Order: sequence, then C-alpha cells, then structure tokens
Amino acid sequence: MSKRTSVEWNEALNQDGEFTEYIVNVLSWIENVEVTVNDQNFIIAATGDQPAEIAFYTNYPTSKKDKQEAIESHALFESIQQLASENLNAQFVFRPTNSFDKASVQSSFSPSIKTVYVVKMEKDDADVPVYVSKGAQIASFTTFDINVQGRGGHAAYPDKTVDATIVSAAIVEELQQVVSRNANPMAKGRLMVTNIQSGEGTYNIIADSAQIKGNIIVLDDDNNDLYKTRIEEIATQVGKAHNAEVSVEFNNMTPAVHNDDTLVERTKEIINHEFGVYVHPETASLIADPVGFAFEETPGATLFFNQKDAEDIVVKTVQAIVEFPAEQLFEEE
Amino acid sequence: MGYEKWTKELNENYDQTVSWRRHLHENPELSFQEKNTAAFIKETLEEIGVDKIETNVGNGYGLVARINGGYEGPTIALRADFDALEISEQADVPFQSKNEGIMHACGHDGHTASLLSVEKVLANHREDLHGNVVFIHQNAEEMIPGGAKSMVEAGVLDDVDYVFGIHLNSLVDSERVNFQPTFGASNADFFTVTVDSNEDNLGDALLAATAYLTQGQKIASNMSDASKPVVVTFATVETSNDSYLETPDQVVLKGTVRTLHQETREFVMEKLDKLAQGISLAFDVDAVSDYDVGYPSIKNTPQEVYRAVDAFNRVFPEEEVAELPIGMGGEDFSYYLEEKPGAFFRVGAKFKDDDSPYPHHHPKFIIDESSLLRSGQVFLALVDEYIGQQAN
Repeated sequence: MSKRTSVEWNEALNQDGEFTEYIVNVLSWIENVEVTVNDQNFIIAATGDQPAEIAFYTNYPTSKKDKQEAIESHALFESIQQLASENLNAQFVFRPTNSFDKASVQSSFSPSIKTVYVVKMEKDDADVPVYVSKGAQIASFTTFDINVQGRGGHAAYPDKTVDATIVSAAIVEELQQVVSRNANPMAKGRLMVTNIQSGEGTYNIIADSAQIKGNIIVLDDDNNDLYKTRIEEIATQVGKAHNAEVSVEFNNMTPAVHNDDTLVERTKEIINHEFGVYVHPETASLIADPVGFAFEETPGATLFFNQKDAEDIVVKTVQAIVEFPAEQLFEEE
Repeated sequence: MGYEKWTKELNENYDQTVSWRRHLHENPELSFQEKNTAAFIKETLEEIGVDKIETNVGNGYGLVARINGGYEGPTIALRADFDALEISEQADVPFQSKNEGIMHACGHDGHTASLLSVEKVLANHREDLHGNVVFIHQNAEEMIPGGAKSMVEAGVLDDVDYVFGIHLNSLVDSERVNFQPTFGASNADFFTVTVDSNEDNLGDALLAATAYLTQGQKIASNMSDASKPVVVTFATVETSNDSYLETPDQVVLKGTVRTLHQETREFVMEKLDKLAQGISLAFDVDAVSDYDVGYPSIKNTPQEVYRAVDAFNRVFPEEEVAELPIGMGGEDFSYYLEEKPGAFFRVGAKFKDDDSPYPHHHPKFIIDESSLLRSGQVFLALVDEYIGQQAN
C-alpha cells in the first residue's frame, strides 16, 4: 500500500481537490476498517470488531498549503492498516483543518472511548522519535475583532478628518508589544493580526472606519486573559489618542489542550519500552486545534513524532499503545 | 441692468433648480459611467433651448452647450462637472441616492444644476449678450485621467477667450464666495503600494503594510520641505483574504499625494519608492510602489481673479467675498487654465447653524441648497462682467 499511496498522495497534494473523498477512498482499500464521514467532514475509521477504548486524532489537509496536516494524516494510514490486519480495536478521527465545530469534535468519538491521543508531527531534526510531556500541549485559539470609527472625508484635507486607516495601522504597531513587552517571554504565545479592511477601494477618500481581525494563541487561561486585556487597552487608548472610537470583541474558539499527567507517565513507559529509554523534551504546539473540546469529556495526551521515518514510528507507537491494557493507562505507580 | 434682470429670473426658477439637483443627487453615476446623467442634461438643455449641444465630447459623456449673444464679442466658458463617488450615502435627506454604493458627495450635482439654471436664464436673454457663452458639462472629474484634458483636446476652448469654474464648499457658510489669486488646487497624484508575502520569504505582508502606513506619515511630517505643502493619504487597505487564522499573502494600499510644487511632487514619489524597498528588506516581503501622476495644480490668472472679484463686490455684500487660503484639493479644471486665462472660485454651501459640517467625500456630506442660487449668481456676475451690459 505504501508506495502506491505515497505517489497518489503526492499527486493529490498538488491539486486543490476533494481531500475528504481521497482519504475515504484510501481507507476503504483497507480490509476490516469501518469508515464514516459526518456532516462537518470529520472522517472516522474504526478497526477491530469490538468497541474501541482508545482513539487517535489528527488533522487532514483541505488545501495544498496544509503540508503538515498531509504528513500527519498519511502517517496514520499505515497504523490503521496494521491494526486492522491484527483485528486490534481502535478509533481514528481525521479532522478537516477548516473546521472548529465543537459538537463535531465531541460527537466524532464513540461513547466507548476512554482516551484520546493526538498525533502531531515535529521537525526532522528532533532528537527523539516520539515524545510526550505534561501540561498544556496545544494552544487555545481566540479571535478578536477591532472596529475603528473615525471621521472620513476628502483625501486632500486630512486635518478635517480622523483617518481610520492610520489609526488601525497604529493599533497594529502597538499590539506587537503585547508579546514583546507584556507577556512572560517563557510563556509561549502568539498574537497575530490577520486582516485589515479600510476604505471602499478609492484613492481619494479618507476612510470613515476600519476593521482589524486577528487571533490569540496561548497555552493557558491566565495568558489568554492578559492578551485580551492588553489588546482592549491598547486598541481603545490608541484610538482615543487619535480621536477615534474603538471597540473590541473577542470570541473564544477553542480551549487549550492539557495532557493528563498520569496518562503521560504511562505513555512514556510504553514509548520507552518500544524505543528505548530517553528524555522526553518539553514542548507545545501553537497551532490552533479544536481537539481540546474532546479533552473536556475524555482525558488524553498529545504525541509529537519526528517527521523523519514518521510512518514507521507512528505504526509502532500506535500498536504499542493499543496493545497496552487500557485499564492500566490511568493507574498511578 | 442685465445682471439684475437675470438674477430675478434665476430666483424665480429656484425651485426648478433644486429639483434638478435632487434628481441628480438621487441618481448618481461614477466617473466614466455617467450615461443617464448626460442624457438628463441633454434633455434639459433641449428644453431650455440653447443654440447648440454637442454630446460625448472628449473621453466620455461630456457635453458642450452654446448660447450666442445678440452682439459680437468675446466668448467665455463656464464649467460644471457631473460625476459622483463610490460612497454609500448616510446623509439624512429625503432624496438619498438610489444607486447603492454611489453618492454625490462632492457637490457636482449642485454645480450642474446651477449651470443649467444659468443656461435657462441666458437662453431667454441672448439679446443682452455682447459675446457668447460656452457651457462645459464635464464628465469624470473624480477619476484620473479625468474629463477636462480630453475635452480641451477635443477643442472645447478653441474659440473661448476666458474660462471659469466654481466648486461648492461644505465647510464654508453658504452664500460666501471665495477666491485664490494664485494656486486654486494642488497637484493631485495617486499611488498603489502592493505588498506580497511570497512563499520563499514567508514574510508577513500585513505587518509590513502597517509599517509602511505608519512610516509613510513621516514623508509629510518630517522629511519633505516644511515650507512647501504636502499631503500623503492612504485611502484604502485591501487584503487578499479575510481570515482569523492566516495572514494575507498580499496587501494593497491605495492613496493620493497632494503638492503644490513640482519638486515636492518628485520628492514624495521617490520616497514612496524607497520606503517600499526598505520595507521589503526589513520584513522579507516584496513591496512595490506604483505612482500615477494626476492633475496638475490650478494656476489661476491673477488679473482675471481680481477682475472677477471686483464684479462680485458690486453685486454681493462685501463680507461675503473673501480670499481663501490655498487648500490641497485637486481639480482637473487646471487643464482649462493651462490653455486660456480664467479662474476657479469656491461657493460656500454650509448651513449657517451647522457647527460640525461634514467634509466633501464623507458619507454624510450635505449642502445648503441656497448655495445653488449663489453659484448661479456667480456665473451670471462673470457673464455680465465679460460680455454683459457691465462689459459695455
């Protein structure tokens, strides 16, 4: 399966095609796998003939740009084939990168699932094949909308106006300090401005209003609150300095993902048994992912894999976890 | 006197002038798309009974009308523009624009209605005129290349001796008439800055663009010659996507530069280009500045300015005629003055009790319609001065 799948997968990656359909087709080639797709295009594959207690979750690409997701989902195909051939029970959930729907995430996992493992790829130069660590692993994702209300007018008479375009640019410039000056440098986080819209396409009319969009990605609620507070303070005060009215709205999209500490320790033992004993580096992903909604109901852990030889490592890790007695995963030593 | 007789009739026709203006206001059309507006003007001119009407003059829907006087004499041209702007109207008036996203937000509807009102009066009093009047109804003033240059090239001023134009001013009390002896408007240029974040560089196009916007302010604030006026305005920011997750691959900034002097114009052009190069290096993006030289500045003929001001002072209260400081608006009327002597005047259009008027190009721009009457009076005062009884 591997060679054929790799070639066809690469071909599919070069087209903006129907990735959902492609993955379902690939999975359908594997015997003893039940494949379903929900209305948000989450793809769910189940191996074995008993209800699974362990699930593995990753993302699949929805555009050519999603190269990381392409590697992550491809790596699990081999695992599915392996488990299916040995009739081992597991569930695999593939999320489309463009979905943040809470209900879809939570409903993708069967009621029998007791543990969710998230599969993430790391860079080729990681020193270890796979690792897991305690604490927050995947950042929360919050969006913000900033509306700047100025006073438009003729482009030649800026003194008669409050230029919303310039005010919005000034706000964006000042927002950089939230990360560079206000947040603890040791606390991973990111504030990204993703869009500014101002003006109606003209060259000679000073914009009456402007809209700024962006996101906050942090690993804990305290930092999320800090970012939100500072964004609001900076945006409104910069606006005030320019005689503009500024309003800010936030939307908490996805929560941060925290590994279950006990599960982490058990998982390290499984990995060490498979690959040898080594130090698992502390890490976290700043890519937004709604899997945190699944962790609200079911404990889990995020596995980071070295991209080099990913398929082989993923297959071994997944099989080792599935073969481990599920009831012992949460036993403390 | 001719002027008194004419303005009496102008007053009597005021309601019609207002209805013409409101019709135009309700049915605005963008530059180079003023088909129905031109048709309305033509139909009105035919009803008025001018001597000649030419349509589609120049590069668009411009019209030229003519009234020949009862006696030989010089020919003066009077000009009004009729295009509208891409603005969604928010003015609280019962005759709001019916064309979504388009609005007469600069007073061109008023200019046109005023000129029509003058044509109507003079058509009834040709016998009073010692000369001829050419009426230039011009298209596309708001958008480069404008309509004026092409109308000049089409010969509208060939037998004209003097040319005059007016512009309503929503920030000055209605009925005031303002003049500028030298510069009547600025050089009006436009630019586009495209910032691309290509895959190789992985630079953030949006951060680079905001840096361009803020650093660009320094061109006017601190880098150019402080004794020479300059305005650099960024009017539009457009992004290649609308997402909360990803920054756009491309950001486009659009704006305008206003200067009075050629050397300042060239300085700003160079600085916008250099800023793009610097931003490209600093942010790992590809930023390119594309500069379009626009209308030249209006250079009034001082002799004709003062002759006209004398005429205004004879018919308007002294306190209502005043010199206005030079502003940085652009106007393609400049092309007419490059060919023939004349001048460009401002007529106040602000409601006298309005303490916070909206400027031109604002979605809530409004005018006091009594300014339509004053505009007509200005035109008639000029006609009287140059080819009326006053001239003789």
